[in-house]
Amino acid sequence: MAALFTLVENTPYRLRYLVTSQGGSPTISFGILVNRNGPTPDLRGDSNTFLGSPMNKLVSTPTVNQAAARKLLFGDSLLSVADNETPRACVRLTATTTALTKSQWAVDANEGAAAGDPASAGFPVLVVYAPSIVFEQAYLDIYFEHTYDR
Amino acid sequence: MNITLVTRTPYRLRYLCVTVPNETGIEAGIIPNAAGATPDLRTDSSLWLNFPMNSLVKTPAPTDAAAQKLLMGILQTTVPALEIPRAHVYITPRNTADNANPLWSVLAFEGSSVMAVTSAGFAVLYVVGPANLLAAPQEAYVDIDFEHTYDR
Repeated sequence: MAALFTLVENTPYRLRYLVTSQGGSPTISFGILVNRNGPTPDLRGDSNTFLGSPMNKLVSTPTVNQAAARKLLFGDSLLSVADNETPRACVRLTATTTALTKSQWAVDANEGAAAGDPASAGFPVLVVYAPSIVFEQAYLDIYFEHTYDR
Repeated sequence: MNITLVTRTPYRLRYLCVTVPNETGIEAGIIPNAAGATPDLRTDSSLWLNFPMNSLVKTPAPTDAAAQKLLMGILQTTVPALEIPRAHVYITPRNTADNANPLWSVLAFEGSSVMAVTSAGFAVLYVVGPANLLAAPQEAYVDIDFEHTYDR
């Protein structure tokens, strides 16, 4: 795996991970923050600390494809007045180190199996693209939008 | 650069910015504020007319500094400034590529200072993305979050 995830903060509405690049080849590499309901790091496993919380319910929502995963974790396509009642998260990635590197930190959502993790099939996962330099780090934040007026 | 509104609430706007393949130099895009067709800060927030985000982007910004104070909270450092409405802007890449440079960046400007003449006197966002003859479109989310209470 090109990136290691370490849970550093956990609330009923937010998960924060420290992501560390593992470097190596190819230049573009990625790590998957899985959703297997297993040991940390795992979206469901980690949010189970607050079982039944908004974050826990959100990441436990079945997801059939990438569009659904992006709607759930990024809020994609939630544009109308009626959509405001739809639970969603917001994901951000903040680099804490810097180096000359050929690629950038980036994060996307996908359905687990489609992203390359069969054990997360049917649930949303996060795919983090890490720089090719080893030991570069960033914070990955998943915020639950717990009221639409925020 | 292609910019599309993907999420909106009374307090937040999110846009997906996608670069054009095989461009040289830098690739830039503007999210205007002219009450025109989407993407446009005023138009896109007007679904929630006069709610905090809509009121904020309709506030005149005669200079770049005023635009950055309004949309990015810059120089709002004193106790009295706590009561002044402002937003925060974030950019989050969604993919990357070998030799993806320059890095994604976003900054607020007064409209005419970045040649968005129809947005003159109002705050716009200027987004720069990777070019460098990349074959695959590069993607990033730009978020404008209204800070609706200062204790947040």
